[in-house]
Amino acid sequence: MQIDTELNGGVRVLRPHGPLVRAEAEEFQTRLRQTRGTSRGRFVVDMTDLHFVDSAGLEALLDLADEANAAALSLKLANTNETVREVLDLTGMTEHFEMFADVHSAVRSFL
Amino acid sequence: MRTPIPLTRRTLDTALLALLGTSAAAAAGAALVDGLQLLGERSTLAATVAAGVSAVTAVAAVVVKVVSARRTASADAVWDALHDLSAGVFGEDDAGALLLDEALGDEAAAWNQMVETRGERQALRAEREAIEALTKASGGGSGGFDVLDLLPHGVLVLGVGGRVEAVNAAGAMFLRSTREKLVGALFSDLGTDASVGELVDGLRVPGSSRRAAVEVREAGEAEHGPSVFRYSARRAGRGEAGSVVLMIEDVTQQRLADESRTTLMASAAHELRTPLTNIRLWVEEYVDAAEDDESTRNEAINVIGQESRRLERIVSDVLSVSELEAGSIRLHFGDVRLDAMLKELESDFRMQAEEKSITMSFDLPPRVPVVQGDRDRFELVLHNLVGNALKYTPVGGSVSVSLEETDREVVIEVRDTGFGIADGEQDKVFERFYRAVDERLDGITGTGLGLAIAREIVRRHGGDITLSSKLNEGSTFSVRVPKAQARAQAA
Repeated sequence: MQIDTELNGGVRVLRPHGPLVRAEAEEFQTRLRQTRGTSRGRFVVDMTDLHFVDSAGLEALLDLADEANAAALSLKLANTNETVREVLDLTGMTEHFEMFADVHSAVRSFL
Repeated sequence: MRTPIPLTRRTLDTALLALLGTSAAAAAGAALVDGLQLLGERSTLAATVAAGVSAVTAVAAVVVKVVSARRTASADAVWDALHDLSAGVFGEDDAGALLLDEALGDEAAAWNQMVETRGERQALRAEREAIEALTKASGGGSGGFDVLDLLPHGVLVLGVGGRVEAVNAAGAMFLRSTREKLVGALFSDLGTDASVGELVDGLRVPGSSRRAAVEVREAGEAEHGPSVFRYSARRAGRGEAGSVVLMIEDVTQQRLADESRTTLMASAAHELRTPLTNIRLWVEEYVDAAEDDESTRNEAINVIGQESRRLERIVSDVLSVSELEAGSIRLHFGDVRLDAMLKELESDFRMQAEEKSITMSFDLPPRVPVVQGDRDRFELVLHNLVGNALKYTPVGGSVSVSLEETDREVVIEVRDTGFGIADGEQDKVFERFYRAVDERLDGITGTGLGLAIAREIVRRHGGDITLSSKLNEGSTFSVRVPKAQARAQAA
């Protein structure tokens, strides 16, 4: 799975491309865990190019969110599209994440 | 009665795909799922889920179960229950079809409740989580705090002899370790900055103050840049016998924001000075010139006009940055006539190109599309890109702007034969205040904001800017704007 990254101030912004399904979901999870370690939790996920999530993707997202919540942090998602948001809403998972309208507000939430 | 559709991960995913809304996308998605391998035998369950949006809520409930079942110790019981469920054939719209025998245990009961009402289920889960948190808090042990795990700041308790007695989850993360490894370890072995050790030791000196703080900048991994942590310590008991509570806060973003404000002020002031000086000099030139010296006076007026436009741009760059910072940037969408914009661009930069003997060319198709976007912001993007190309291309080079239209997008390329950007720096040039490290840049001023702003604006238009460059050969910046927002110009 292609995941572009950039540094925005002290915050790492990850921008995954393509649908979050099956094998990609696992890779996504591994990459995000690595980033959480190296960035000490200062990262956000830009969901602009993540158009679809399947059950494996949901699991991956939920695992990551739970791990973050365990350390009083949250998984910050920005630019989540309508479809993905609907999936999260229907499955009652929205509350597990912190959602932002754009990357900048997500980054600013670390201030 | 509709034939029941077997509930597998594949059905779940197909139903989720149905959420995509458009049939084309769903078809593409379904093909994708077809290509994927299914899970093992345990996921081949049958239920009354009819594909389609109406079934999505039921499917979603199952997804929640599949996901949350994995988390519970009794997951196997749920799987077995679902297997039993798969043995039956159920009628359409029969809510009972999804219900399990309550005798199967708490998990089955929970599942039934979940099927019945989503709202109720959420409330139940919240309640369960609260109970778990409370029982954990009273249980203690393992050196964890539990309640303090709800705190985003790291907290460490250091006992006599400098050993870690307890640490919360955030503390373990900031120290890049785990609670198991930290508890019982000597604080001096944790590899924190020497000043933190001194801070803690200082508190144990008789007669010292009870609290102290220190801020440490840690190098961290290269890709993440430095982190700034504020360690504040407080002595809990008396003298050497007392334990010390150490609190760790991540203040990286706050410090970086302070720094970037200072940098912005300094570089904006510096950028403004050059055009102001030029304007002042040419006003003097104009005044000093003999009344009939038309050519000098004309040149003075030209330069003054040009420099004031430059001032205007610097000010709008700075304003854009503050708007972006505040998240208040608003795009005013309308028709953007790219052909007119590019022509204007050419005349704006012609003099600057001639001064450096740079060949500037615009390679445009006969029909230039009209794009939907914010005209002023889009102009700023192209201005920043062409301005940069001229700025970083040595005398005698060339700068070309081309426009191409594909089925999906409009691509504008700005190509130069300039200094080029080293591989390791190509990502960084889009970061704010970043200026590539290159001695040839000495004497060329810049705020390091232009590209950051340009990319942000293009992204807000649903596109992106990419860069390909080779050191000493030149750079090409490509602006892509999706065609969904573009339409062909009426001939």
